[in-house]
Amino acid sequence: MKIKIFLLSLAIVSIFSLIKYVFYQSAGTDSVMGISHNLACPCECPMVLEDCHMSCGMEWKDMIGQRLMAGGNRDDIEGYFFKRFGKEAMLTPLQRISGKWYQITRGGYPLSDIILFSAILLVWSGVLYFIISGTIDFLKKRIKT
Amino acid sequence: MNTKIRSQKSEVRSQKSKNKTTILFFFLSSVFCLLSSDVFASDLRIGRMKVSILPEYDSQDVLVVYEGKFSDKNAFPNQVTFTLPKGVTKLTDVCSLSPGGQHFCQLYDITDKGEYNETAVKLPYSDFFIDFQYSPFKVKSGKAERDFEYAVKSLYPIDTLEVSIQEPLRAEDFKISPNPMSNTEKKGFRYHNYTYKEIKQGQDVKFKIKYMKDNVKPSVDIKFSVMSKQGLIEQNRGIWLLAAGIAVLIVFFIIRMRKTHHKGTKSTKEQRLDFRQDIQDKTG
Repeated sequence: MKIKIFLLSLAIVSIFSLIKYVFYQSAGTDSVMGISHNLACPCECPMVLEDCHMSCGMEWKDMIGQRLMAGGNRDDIEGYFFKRFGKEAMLTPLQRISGKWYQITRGGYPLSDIILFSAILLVWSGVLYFIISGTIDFLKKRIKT
Repeated sequence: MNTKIRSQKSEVRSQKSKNKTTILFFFLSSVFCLLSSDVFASDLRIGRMKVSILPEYDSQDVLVVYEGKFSDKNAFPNQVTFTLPKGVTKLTDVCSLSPGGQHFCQLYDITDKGEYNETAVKLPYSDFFIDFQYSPFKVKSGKAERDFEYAVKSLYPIDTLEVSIQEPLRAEDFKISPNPMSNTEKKGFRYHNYTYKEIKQGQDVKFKIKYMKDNVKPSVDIKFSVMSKQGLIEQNRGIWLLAAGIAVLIVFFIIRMRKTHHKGTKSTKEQRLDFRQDIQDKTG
């Protein structure tokens, strides 16, 4: 039972972290990274533009930077990319998931980050385990009384 | 009858020997393949390599980008080694680019080689792209001189080596040696360029860079930096999150321990009471 609760906690924390990592935009919308969060990489690969460091992706990021400095906002810039490059430039949620998965599985992160991320997952799974098992114990006592 | 059995036995033997020969053939050919791939690794040659050195571009460090292509594309996938300045322990990207333009970012190992560090990477294609930050100078605040040397050292011969050094914005008295072969202006930045032909294996190509700056602000605000990238987790935030998690875990653990201890003591108390009750009942 204890193992089952721990595995459930680990699954919940992992799913929550992955959703946050894939969809949550950590950078501001007035930054190159914030806007490239919603654009596809133009280098014929499934990556999200924010993860792309190749010259073709950098050209796009440079365009975003120039437009931001010229006073453009997120909607203007995304609209510009849509008009100029078509809907292929925009990311669908499914493309975002596959792009981020690609980034993870291609070893796009240093080992220290992976270790830190795994440690956080394990520790917070432990916290959730205590919360779930505590709640179960509490409910059991209540039912008994 | 006997001759039949003999001929059957000899057939089985010849079959067995054939099998052995096949296994031996496969073994030898795989050994040959492994050895030949090693030969390829040591015989590799870079056709064109561009090194971009961007001091204080979007951080207080120096951003370095290696881009290039090995001459023999048929020698890939293959393990290759690049040298890095001493102190570089983390690379931002190590990727290979397929002919179709797909990224293949790779895992890497960095080893200390005394004067410099080395990274060994398995590249699926002959194109490569590596970028990293390193800190050859430490300036905390105020007007200070930056003075450092960057050595491009390749473990493979290079047909054409292009080096481009970006002058940081707001830098004064910018000096580099050797003198640049050409200068270009691009998007508000001044670049000092060099082109070298036929660089030998292990040859050092050194650049001395010296300039003054009033502050530690990088040329480009990180908000507008094309090099910015989402990490798996932000290091500082991650460490805080881990520490907070461990603290909460310890608190929960202590509460649990106290509860079980409390339960244990309660039950012994109850036992003692029961025992006393029994004695009282017996004694009447």
